[in-house]
Amino acid sequence: MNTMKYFLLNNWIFISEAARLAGRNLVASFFWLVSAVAGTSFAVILMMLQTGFKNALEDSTTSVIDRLDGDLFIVSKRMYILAIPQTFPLRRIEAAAGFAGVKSAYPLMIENRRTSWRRSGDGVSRRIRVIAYPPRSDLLDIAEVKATRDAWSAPETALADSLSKPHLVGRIHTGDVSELSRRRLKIVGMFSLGTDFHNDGTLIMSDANLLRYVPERAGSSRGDDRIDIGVIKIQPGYRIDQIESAIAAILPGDVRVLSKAEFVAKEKRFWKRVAPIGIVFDIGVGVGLIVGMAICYQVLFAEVSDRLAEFATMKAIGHTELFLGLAVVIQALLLAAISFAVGLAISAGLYRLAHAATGLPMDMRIGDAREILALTIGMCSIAGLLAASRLKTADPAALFK
Amino acid sequence: MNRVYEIAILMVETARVAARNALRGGARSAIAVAAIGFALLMVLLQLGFLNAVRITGTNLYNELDFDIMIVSPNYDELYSPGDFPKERLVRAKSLASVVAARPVFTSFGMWRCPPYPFDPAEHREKPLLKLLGLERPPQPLQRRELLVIGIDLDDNPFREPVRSRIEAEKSKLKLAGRVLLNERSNPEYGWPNRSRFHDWELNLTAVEVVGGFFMLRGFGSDGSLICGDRDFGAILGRDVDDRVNLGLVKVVPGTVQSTIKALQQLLPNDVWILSREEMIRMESAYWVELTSTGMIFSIGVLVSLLVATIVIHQIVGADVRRRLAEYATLRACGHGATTNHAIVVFQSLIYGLAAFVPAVAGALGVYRLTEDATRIPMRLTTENLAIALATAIAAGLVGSILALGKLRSADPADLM
Amino acid sequence: MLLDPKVQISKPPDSFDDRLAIDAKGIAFSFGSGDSRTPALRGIDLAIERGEIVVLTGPSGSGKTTFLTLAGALRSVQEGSLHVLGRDLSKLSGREQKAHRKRIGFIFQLHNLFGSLKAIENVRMAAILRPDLEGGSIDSRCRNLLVELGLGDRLNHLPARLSGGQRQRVAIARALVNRPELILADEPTASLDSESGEIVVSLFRKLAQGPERTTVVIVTHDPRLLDRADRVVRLVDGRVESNTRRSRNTVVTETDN
Repeated sequence: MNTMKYFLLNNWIFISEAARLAGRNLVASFFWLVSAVAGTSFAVILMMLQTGFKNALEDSTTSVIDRLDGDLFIVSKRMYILAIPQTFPLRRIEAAAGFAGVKSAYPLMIENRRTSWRRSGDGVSRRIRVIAYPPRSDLLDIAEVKATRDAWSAPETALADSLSKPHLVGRIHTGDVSELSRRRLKIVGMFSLGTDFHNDGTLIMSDANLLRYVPERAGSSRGDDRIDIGVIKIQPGYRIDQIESAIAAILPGDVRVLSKAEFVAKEKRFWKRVAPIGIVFDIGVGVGLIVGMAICYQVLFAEVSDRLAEFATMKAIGHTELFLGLAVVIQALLLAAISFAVGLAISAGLYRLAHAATGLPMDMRIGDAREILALTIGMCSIAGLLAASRLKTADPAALFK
Repeated sequence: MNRVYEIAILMVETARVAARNALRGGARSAIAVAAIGFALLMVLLQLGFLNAVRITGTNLYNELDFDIMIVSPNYDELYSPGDFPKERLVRAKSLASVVAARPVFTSFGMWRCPPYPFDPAEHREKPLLKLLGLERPPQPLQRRELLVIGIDLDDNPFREPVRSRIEAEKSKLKLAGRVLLNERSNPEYGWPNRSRFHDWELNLTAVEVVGGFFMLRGFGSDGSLICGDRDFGAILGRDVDDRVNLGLVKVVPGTVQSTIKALQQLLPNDVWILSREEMIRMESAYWVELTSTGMIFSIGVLVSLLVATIVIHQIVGADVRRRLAEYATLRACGHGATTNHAIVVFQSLIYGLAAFVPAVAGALGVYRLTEDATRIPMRLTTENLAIALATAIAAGLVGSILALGKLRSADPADLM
Repeated sequence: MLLDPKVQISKPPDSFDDRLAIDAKGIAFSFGSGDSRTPALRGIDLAIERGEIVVLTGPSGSGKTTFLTLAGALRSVQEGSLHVLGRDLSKLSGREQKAHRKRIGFIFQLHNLFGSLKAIENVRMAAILRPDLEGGSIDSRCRNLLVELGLGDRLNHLPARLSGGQRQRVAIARALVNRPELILADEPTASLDSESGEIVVSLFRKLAQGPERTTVVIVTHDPRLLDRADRVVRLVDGRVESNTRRSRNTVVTETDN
C-alpha cells in the first residue's frame, strides 16, 4: 500500500513537472505561440466549416419535413425527393380521412417550378418555392405562421420567409405588394424557415390561393386537385404503425404512406446514395486534419529543436525520454485546447455569416464540436509524439565540449 | 558588361546555396515540403470543387455553337430559362450578318432508370470504394429527373464532338421516341446497361436510346439527354413551333457587337440578347455567386487559401530562422544583404516547386476519387494550377523575407 | 515507474576498494570506425579518491571531455575497466546508466537552462529526480541551495533576466541539488567573476570535506581552480602526462612521454 502511494506520489511529481515545463514552453515565445495557434486554429476552422456545410446540406433537405405537424404522410409513389415535384390527386387522402383513429388528413402542396416572384426593386422575376395548405390545419409547426393564420387566409395574400436569399428573390417585407406568376400578391407577414440547395426562398399561402396562381394544379373537381403530401394526424391512444398499414392496404398503387421517421430517412438516403456531396466535405475535413497535423508537427519540431540542448541536459542528469516526451505531448495538447477554443469562436462567427449569406441552416452541434475537439486533440497529440521522437537525437554526451 | 557578369555569377552562386540548403535540410526539409504540399493539395481540392460549380453553369453552353444567345427576360439560369416566341428567331435571321438562328428546347423530364445492379449475378465489388463506404448501393427500378434538350435535327446547334454524334444517329433520331443519353450522366440513368435494358421511358412515353454523347455533369442535374424537337414537343407536351427556351445565333465573323445592336433594335423587348461571353459569364456568376453550393465552395476556397498562406508562410519562415546563423555568417564574410535575400527567394521558390509537383499529383488522385464517389466533375484547370502555385510562392516569399528581417538586427558578433 | 528511471540506487558495490570514486584502468576510446577512426583516449589509468577535487587540464583534443563523458556514463566504455562510485560501468544497461547518472552532478560549459522556467524551477527539474532526499521539501532544497550560491533574490527570475554568471550558478545549483557523490564539471567558472567563482569553489570544497565526501572532477584552465585543487591531472594526446598532488606538491605517477 505504501509503495503504491509512493508510486503515485512520485509519478505525480513528474507529471506535474512535465505539465509545468509544457505550459511555460508554450507561452515562452509570444511569436511562437501566435503562429502555432494561428496555424492550428485555422485547421480547426476548416474542419468546422466543412462539417457545418455538410450538416447544412443534410439538414436543409429535411427542414420542411421536420416541421410538418403530422404522424403519417401520403406521397406519390414516384416521389424520390421532395424537391422534385411529384403530385397525386387530393382524393387519395380523403379515403384515409375516414379511418378510425385518424384525427385529420390535410393536403399540402409545394410548388417550385411554376411560381416566380417579381422582385419589388427591379421587377426581375425569380423562381420561388410556395408551400400551400389550409390555414386552419396548422400543418407547419412554425409559431409565426400559426399566429398569422387569419391574415394569410385572405385571397392573394402570403407569408414570406425572412431567410430567403435577398440577392435572388429580393428583400421581402410585410406589406409588400408585388406579383407571383404575373398575378398580384400581398405579403402579410414573415416567418423563418431557410433555404436549401434547390430553393432560394419560400412563400406560404392557403391551398385555395395557390390554385389561383397555378391553375394547372386544379382538377375538374376538388378530388382531382394535384397535391404533394397528405398530412395525417392520429388521435391519441391509437398506434401509428397499425393505422399506417391499414391505410397502406387500401391506397391505390400510385401513392404510399410513410411515417415521419421513414419520410426523413428516405430523403436522407437519397442524398447519401445518389448525390453524396457530403463526401466532399468529409474529404475537406480529412485534408484539414492532415494540414493541421503537418503544421502542428512543424511548430513542435521547431520547438524541440530550439531546446535540444536543454532536453539533452535533462537526459544527462537522469530524466527519461518518456518524461521529456510527455512534456512535448502536453504542450501539444495545450496547443490543441487553445487552438480549438480560438477556432470555435471564429467558426461561430463564420457560421453566422454563412447562414446570413445562404439562408442554409448552419448550427454548431454539440456532437460535431466534440468530434472536432477529438480530431484536434488527436491531430496535435500525434504531431506531438512525432516531434517528441526528435528527443532521441538529443545527445547528452555532446554537451561536454 | 563586367557588372552583368558579376550579377550572373552571384545569381548562380545564390541559387546553388539555396538548392543545397533545401536538399541537405534532411528530415526538416522533407517535412516542410510535405506540409506545403498538403496545404497546396487542400487549395487545389477546394478550387476543384468550386470549378465543378462553374462547370454546372457552362457544361451545356460549352457544347453549343453560338455567338449570340436570345433568351426570355425571365431567364434565371439554364435549368429555369423561361421561354419566348419562336418568331423572334425567324426575324433575327432576316439580318444580313446572321448566319443561323437555331432554337434549343430544355425541360426537366422523368426518366425510367434500370435497377442496380442490373444483373445481381454479375455484380462485382470495388474493394477500395467499399472500404471507404462509397460503394454504390443496390437500387430497384425507379424514375428520376433529368435534363431534356430538344433540337432541330436538321439544324444541329451543337459543336464538335457532340455535333458528330448527333449527325451519326440523325436518321434514327428522326423516328419517334429515339433519344441520345449523356454518357456522363449519373450511372443510375442506365448508360452502362444500355445494351441490355430496353424498357426506357421518358415521362411515361416509351423511348429507345440510340446512342450517347458526352457532356459534363453539374450540380443542376446529374443526367441529360438529347432528342429531336418533334419528340420533345410530343413527350413533354410543349408547342415547339410556338415557344423556344434558347435562341442560338451564329453571325458572320467580327460582327457580334454590331449584330447585338441590330437585334436589340429589331426585336421587341420580350427577349434578352447576350453575347456568348456574357451568357457564359452570367451563368457562371449565377452558380458561383448566387447559389448556396457556389457560396459554400467559395467560402471553402477562401478559407483554404488563408490556411495555406499561413502554413506556407510559417514553414518557410521557420526554415529561414533555423538557418539564421548561416545567413549571419555569410554577412560576416562580407556578403551584402542582397545575397541573403536572393538565397531566401531561391529557396522559397525551390520549396514551392518541390511541394507543387506532389501536390498536383495528389490532387489528381483525390479528384479522381471524389469524382468516382460523388460524381461531381473534377477538372484541374490551368487557372487553378496557377492560383495554387502563386499562393505557394507568394506565401513562401513573404514568410522568408519577414524572417530575414530578424537577421538585420542580428549582429554577426553574436555568433562567437 | 515509466517516468522515473529508478533502478535501486544503493546496490552493493562491484568494486572492493570503496575509497575510490573513480578507478580507471587502461581506458581507450575512439570515435568513428574504419578509416575515419580517431582515437581520443589511448590508455588512461587514473584513480580518484572520494572527497578529492581533481582538475583535468591539457590542450584541446587531449581527451579531457571524452574522459568526462565516460565517467559520467554518457558514453559506454570501449576498452579497459572503469569503476565509478563502486559500479563497473561496462556492465550497466542503458537504464542503469541513467539511474547511475542521478548520483552524478553535471556542470556543462553552456548553462542550458530552460529559458521558459524561472531559476528555482530549473533547479526543481533536477530536484524531482530525488524526492526521497532529506533536507526539507523539494522546493526548500532548491531555495536553500540558490541562497547559498548568492541567488536568494533571483529565485523567480527567468534566465533572460540573469547575468551570465548568475545563469551559470543556477546551472551549478541544478547539478548540486541532489547532493551528488561525484561532480563532473566542464569549465564551471569560465563565465564567473572572481567573487562568484570564489563562492562556487568554496562550495565544492565544502562538499568535498563534508560528511558525504563528494568527489569533484573539473576540466578547466582557470588558474583559480588549479590552486584550489587537490590534484591536477594533465592529459596530452589521450594519455596522462602528469598527475600532481597539489597540497603536498608530490608527483603521484609520471608517465613517459
